This record gives sequence, C-alpha cells and structure tokens, in this order.
Amino acid sequence: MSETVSFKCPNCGSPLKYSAELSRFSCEYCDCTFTFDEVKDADVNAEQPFDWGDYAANVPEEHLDGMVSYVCKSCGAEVVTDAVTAATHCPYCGNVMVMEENLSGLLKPNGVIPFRVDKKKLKAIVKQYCAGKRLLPNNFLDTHKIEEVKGVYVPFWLYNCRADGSMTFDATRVRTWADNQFYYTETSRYLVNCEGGMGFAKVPADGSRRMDDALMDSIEPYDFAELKEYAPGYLSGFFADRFDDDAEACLPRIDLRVHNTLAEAFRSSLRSFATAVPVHRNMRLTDTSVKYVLLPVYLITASYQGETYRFAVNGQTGKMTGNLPVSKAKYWAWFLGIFAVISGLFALANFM
Amino acid sequence: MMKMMKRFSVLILLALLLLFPGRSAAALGAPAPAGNQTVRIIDRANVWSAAAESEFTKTAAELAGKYETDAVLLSVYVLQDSSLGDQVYDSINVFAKAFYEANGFGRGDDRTGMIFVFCKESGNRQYAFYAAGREAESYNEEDASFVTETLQPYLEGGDYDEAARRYLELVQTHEEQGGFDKGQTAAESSNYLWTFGLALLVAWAITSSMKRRMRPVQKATAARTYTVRNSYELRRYNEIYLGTTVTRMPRNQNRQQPGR
Repeated sequence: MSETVSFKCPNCGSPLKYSAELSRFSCEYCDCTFTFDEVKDADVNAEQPFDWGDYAANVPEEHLDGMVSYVCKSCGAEVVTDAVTAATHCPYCGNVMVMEENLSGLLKPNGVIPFRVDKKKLKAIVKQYCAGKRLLPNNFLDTHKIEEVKGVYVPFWLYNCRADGSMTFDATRVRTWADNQFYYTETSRYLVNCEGGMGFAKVPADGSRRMDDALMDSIEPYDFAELKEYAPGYLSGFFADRFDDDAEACLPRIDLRVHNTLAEAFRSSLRSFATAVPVHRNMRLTDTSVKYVLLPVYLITASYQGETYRFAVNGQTGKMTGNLPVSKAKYWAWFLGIFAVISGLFALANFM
Repeated sequence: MMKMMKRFSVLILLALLLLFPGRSAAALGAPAPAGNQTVRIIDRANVWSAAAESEFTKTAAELAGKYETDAVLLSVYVLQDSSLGDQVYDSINVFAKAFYEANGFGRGDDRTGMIFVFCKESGNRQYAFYAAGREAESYNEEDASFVTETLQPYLEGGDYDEAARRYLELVQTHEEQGGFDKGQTAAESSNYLWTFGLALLVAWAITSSMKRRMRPVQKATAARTYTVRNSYELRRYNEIYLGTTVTRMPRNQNRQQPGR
C-alpha cells in the first residue's frame, strides 16, 4: 500500500481544496478559507526540505509499469491508479488524494505554478475561443458535448542552457538598373559565415507521455515569475501526474527549439542580402541545467458528431488551444464567395 | 483675228472651269471627286491572282451598291504611289488617308468608305485601316484595331486571298450589324485566364488561412520567448565574395511590333 497526503481543514477537519479564484485553500463544509502557511501548520504531513536534484534519467522504467493502490484517508477505501498519477480524487467519497511517493525525494518538483483560472470561467473561455472562427459549424457550440473537464498539474522540465555554434549561408545581393533599351540585374554571390551564441532560460517541455506535446507547446507561455516552491497542498482539488519522460528524453525537443532560435538570430545579421540559404550548421548546447515543475492545465474533452476533440487551457493565463471541426459547407461557401468577389473586382477593373 | 481667237479660248477655258470645278481642283492637287471609282482592289504588290482580284472587285462593287460605301483594299511594296506624286510616306496611316482621298474613293458627299492598306516592304511590313465619311463615325478605334488584328495573321502567313476575303466579309458584317461581335481576342482570353487564376489563388489563400485558425495545435519549433535578454553575441562574421552575374532584358520585349 502506498501513502497519500491530503490537507485537512484546521477548523473542522474536512478535506480542503485549493481555490484558483481565491488563491487560497477553502473548506466546502465550514466555508473557511486559509493561506498555505496556515494550512501547512495544521497538516499532519510535515514539509520535507527542498531538493534541487539532478533529474536526468533518474527513474527506472520498470517503476512506471503496472498499477498502484492507495488507501483513502477519509473513507478507508482502496483506490487503484496508474503509477504516474500524483494526485486524484477518491471515487467513493471525493476526498483529494496526493500520492506522496510520486512527489517526494528525486520525484519531488522544484516548483509549481498554482491554478489562477477558475473552473467556472472555462465555459466563457471556450465561447471566446470559438468566437470569430468562421469555419466552425453553426451548431458546434450548441450540440457539442463536453465529456470531461480536468484540472491537471502537468509535469514539465524547465531547461536553462546556452546555445553556441556557427552557420554558413549561400547569400546573394541584387542590384537593378535600366537604360533606354534594357533592364539589368546584377547578382553578386557570397559565402557568409556566422559564429556566436545565445542564452536561454526556463524553456519548457512536458515530461508526460499522456500529454500531447503539440497541445502543451500551444498553450505557452507561462509566467515563471509566479513559480512557487512546491507544496502538496497546491494539488488539492486537482489531478496531477508525475513525469514519465525524463529530462534527457525531452532534451531533443529543446535542442531543436534553441538551435532554430539561434539560426534565426544569425539570419537576422544578413539583412543586407536579398537571399540567404543555409548550407552548413554546427551547434551545441552548453551550461545545461534543468528543473522539474508542475504547471496548471485544464484538459477538456468534447465530442461532436462522433468525433472526439481535446482542448487545453493554460491554468495560469487562460490561453486556450485545440483543433476545432471545419464545416465543409462553410469552407466552400467562403471559397466561392471570395472567388466571386475578387473575380468581379478584376472584371470591373478590366472593364474600366 | 489671232487676238479674237485668244480671247475666245480664254472664255472657253473659263466656262470649262466653271462647269467642272472639281476636276480643275484635282488638277491643282485637291482631292478627287467621289463616287466615280469602280476599281477598289488595287494590287501594286502583286499578291492576288487575277481570278481572285476579279472576285474581290465584284464583291466590293456589290457592297458599294448595297450599302453606299467604298471598301478599298490596297497592297504596296513601299509607301509611295504615282497618284500621290511618288512622294515617299513615313506613316502608313497618312499614306492610307492620302491615297483614299487622292484617288476619288468614297460614296456620297461625305465620301463614305474605308481602305485597308498592306505594305509588303521587306523587313518593315505594316498595316493601316482608314475610314471616311459616315464610316469614320461608324468604325471606332476598337473596330479599326479589330479589322487589323483579324487580317494580320493571314497576311503574315502569306494567305493574301483569304485576307482579302475576310476583309470584305468584315465590311459586310459591320454594315449589317452596325459593329463587330468581336468575341474574345487572344489577349482578352489570356487576361480572363489570369484573372480567373489570380482570384482562385486569393480565395485559396484566404480560406487556407481561415482553416489554419481552426487547427492551431502544433509543436513549437523556436524558443524566442525564452532567450536571455542581451545574451546574443555574434563573435565572428565574414563574407567571402564568390562572383557576379549580370542579366539583361529588353525593355520593349512585351510591346507589339506592327509588321513583324
């Protein structure tokens, strides 16, 4: 049996939940609210010292396989979850369960950004997200069925690093002029070599295989100034996963992003050229360090006409993303309408 | 006696001048009188066979009778003609007008009719259409261009008989319909094709952008947001010159060259 952590109300002893709207812990039974410090003093589980460990490749793969059972401290029921679940609800009494063994020692996050967006505001966020999407089927907002809304703390790796390297471009400068008879174009070719570097801080990559990487990338950025020291209490009322992709496994994604950004910086040095085609690129990462954090995400699963659509909302900023269905009828109506208008304008211009 | 005869001759001459003022004016270089020309196909460049020329002359005469208009067709080697005092003209348009007027073409007082001139000068083929009297109002600039554009391919291809036949058909069509049903010229068709293509491209670009807005989920490929401020340093930058090429394009490449 594994151990779980849950905060109790210092007033009545009932389970506490973290309210994103109030940024405080609230008790549903006695309506009291508390700050983190107030709850921490009352909690049976004492805080462990903050551990900035080396997270790269420190979790054996076999540890993640299979299911794990926990005992609910509220009703005593045995709850079975997968190995990467770090916080969930007891299906029998609704008590918040934080699986401490998945969030302690080397698995303990360095920080957490608490939820700022309240769940009640999600409906308005979804409506706003769909507004102005001209190809959205008319009945989508009315007929789509939200199957699940989950507030999840998603495990992320934050990388600090420096990218250094060199790039070679095949570049051209073009000069044009004319005399009475001809237009002239002079094209001068150059081989341009750039060498330099750039620093990066807190580049995020989600460490959960359950999460779609593209979906998580699309709800960036987070404001890391609000990153707080991890405490299990923040997880109350939400789901949480621990990482199952280690920092080394996620590094290639960071490598690509960082190198592309340095390449863009090199290219911006070649503004005096008409064209610049990269012919050689040699880059490396140095001074790499990584931190493990939990970032707040609302996951919304909706179904429409037999298809399942997954959306994600940044739990800190409220930024929403997710692919929407396209109405074929609307697409062709817009296509033909624009075609008719443009053709009409051109015809009018020709006629005049 | 001699004095009497001299005076008599002067009187006769004066009387003749009074009776035929047009002719005397022509003799002094003024335009010839209208309505008395029956030869409307003049082949100075020898491009039509005798049989074809006879056929065209007959058709032109029928048109003149039916529509009270002269349809004149002239082929020349150079812009020069004895009826114009062998003067060499620089402009084929001026030559066409002068030839029409000097040779008494045109029906009625306003000398209604038209002439198409084809100059076969080597390396400088030219075409001109001139309309006079009622036809000057009837044939607008577009009609005149249409006649030239229609005949030009036949003349450039050496099919002079067909060019003449088409010319007389065009005159008849214009008389009957009061204008030409031009349809679409090649340039116009090309314009419509471009317009069609461009409109398709614009419509596709806009709707594709709308479609992209529906699918915003994609992996991040850059990390611009996370760069450390002022951390970019360009330590080395050098340009190696490889060479220069110069290309030239004629300015009038797309301009239509008449007679080529």
